[in-house]
Amino acid sequence: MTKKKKNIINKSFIYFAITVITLILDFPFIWMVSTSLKDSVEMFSENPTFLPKKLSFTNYISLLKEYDFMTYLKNSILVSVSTTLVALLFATFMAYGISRFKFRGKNVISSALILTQMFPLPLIILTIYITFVKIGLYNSRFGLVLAYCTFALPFCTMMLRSYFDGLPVELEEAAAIDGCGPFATIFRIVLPLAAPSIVAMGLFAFILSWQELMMSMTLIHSADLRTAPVAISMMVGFRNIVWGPLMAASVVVSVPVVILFIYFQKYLISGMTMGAVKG
Amino acid sequence: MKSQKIKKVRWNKNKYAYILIAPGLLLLTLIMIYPLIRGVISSFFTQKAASMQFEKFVGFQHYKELVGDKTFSLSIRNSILYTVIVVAVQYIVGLAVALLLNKKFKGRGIYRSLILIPWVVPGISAAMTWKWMYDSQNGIINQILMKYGFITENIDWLGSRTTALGSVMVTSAWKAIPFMAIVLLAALQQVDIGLYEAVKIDGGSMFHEFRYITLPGIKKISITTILLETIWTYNQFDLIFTMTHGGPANSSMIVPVYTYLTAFSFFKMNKAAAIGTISLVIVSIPAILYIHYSKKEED
Repeated sequence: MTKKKKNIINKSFIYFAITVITLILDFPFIWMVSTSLKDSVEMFSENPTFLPKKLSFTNYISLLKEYDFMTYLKNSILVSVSTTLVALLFATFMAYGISRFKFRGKNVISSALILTQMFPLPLIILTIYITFVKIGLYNSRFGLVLAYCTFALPFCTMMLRSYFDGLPVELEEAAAIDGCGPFATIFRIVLPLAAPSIVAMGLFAFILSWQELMMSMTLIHSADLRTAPVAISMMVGFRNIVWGPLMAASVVVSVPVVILFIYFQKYLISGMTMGAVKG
Repeated sequence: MKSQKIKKVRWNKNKYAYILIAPGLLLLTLIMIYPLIRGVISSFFTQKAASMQFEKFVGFQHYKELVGDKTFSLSIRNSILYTVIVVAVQYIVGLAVALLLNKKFKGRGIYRSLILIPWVVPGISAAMTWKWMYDSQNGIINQILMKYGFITENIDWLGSRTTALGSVMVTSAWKAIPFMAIVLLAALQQVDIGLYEAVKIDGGSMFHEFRYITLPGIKKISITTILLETIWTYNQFDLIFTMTHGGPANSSMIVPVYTYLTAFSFFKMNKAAAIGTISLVIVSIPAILYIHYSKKEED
């Protein structure tokens, strides 16, 4: 066999394999979107169609009208955006402090930050729940934002720290020589430089909070404060699961994440590999 | 190198470091360190359901109770099975995908984005979609298997004792494969290309290439990522909780779900704290290894 022929066979094998894998991996997503756009006749048909023959938005309409989904979405947006802002505010200063200064306990704090990512959440939630009931933060969106900082804050700090570690210090030195204190340096030099990365870390915090289930389910009691993931989990009754609206809700919750992902793919991928590999 | 750089900054005084770090550290202490420590301590006490006060010190009584608790030992067994199998599948498939994506071909970028979709879809949406696909009446998985004659009767994937845990494992592995693939791809791209050419010149086979260059090249990242995924998979809650609720008859019960249910469905806070503390001990093994290996990498 000539080299050229061998190459073509190799290439076609690669295309075949990667296409099959991609189709299998993406099928559930396609199926979710496709089901949400089918009417009930087509959805429960004996011969399922890959894509809907006739587009139907009844599932989405019933989601808004019968399930009051707008309220849950609004709550989710409020809580996730607030968590992102709070976590970024604290994390930026903390990450900068850890990255640029030498001080006692620096290694302990860095290791502790990584370890906090690994704590079993149910153990922590026990005390948070009891404490929040006691001090009146139970069933409050503000309380939930605080609780979400348990994962958002260490995560953003770790990621921003390794980003700051990679930034050259020359500019900051120049600023220091010109008489800038550390806070002026942060606001005038570091923040403008690091803005895109800080936004990317913020997106991570947003995505994590957006889909959080356990804390929201535990710390929020009333329906008008409920977040979307909890609302979805409650749509599954013991009998008669309403698959149409359920798939529509799943799509609605996925949309912002998928859009953010498409726009910020480069940042998210580099952030994700960096976070995983370097810790 | 790094410490030299830091020394050069003029206002390098500890004072500023503490001012910068204090607010975040305080917040973390209040919402993480304190709840964790109090959680561990409460496993040695009794208390009224939602009260802050401990009633009585009972030593290891809650732990002794767990020894005879069949659901607990089942959840430990399931958690270990779940974690080991999911992470193994995820690594093998993830590596295969990464190796494919590391070849040069047109449209590689598009494939790379498309492959990330399972990772991007929120957990709750993924859980609900798979629940729908596994449905015993109208689920697509049963329909396809029937059509091609693999089964003659619909299977209740999530509702039967023999298949529930395995079915959620499939979902869990599916969701995590993209992450593993992308991390391993990043590692593969850092392997020195010159080494591959040297093997080719020496007449080495594909297997040689993989065994002596690819694998050693990605060893470190593989170890850290596997450890990280082990911790994440062990701590996973959403999928089991929303897809099977640990059932039927506790057959898919895992430790995090059992901890949660013990606290918030059976209202045994101190027993739940004891289970949580055991989880903490279990997780600390891969966690310590992870910190050890990631430090090594920095040197």
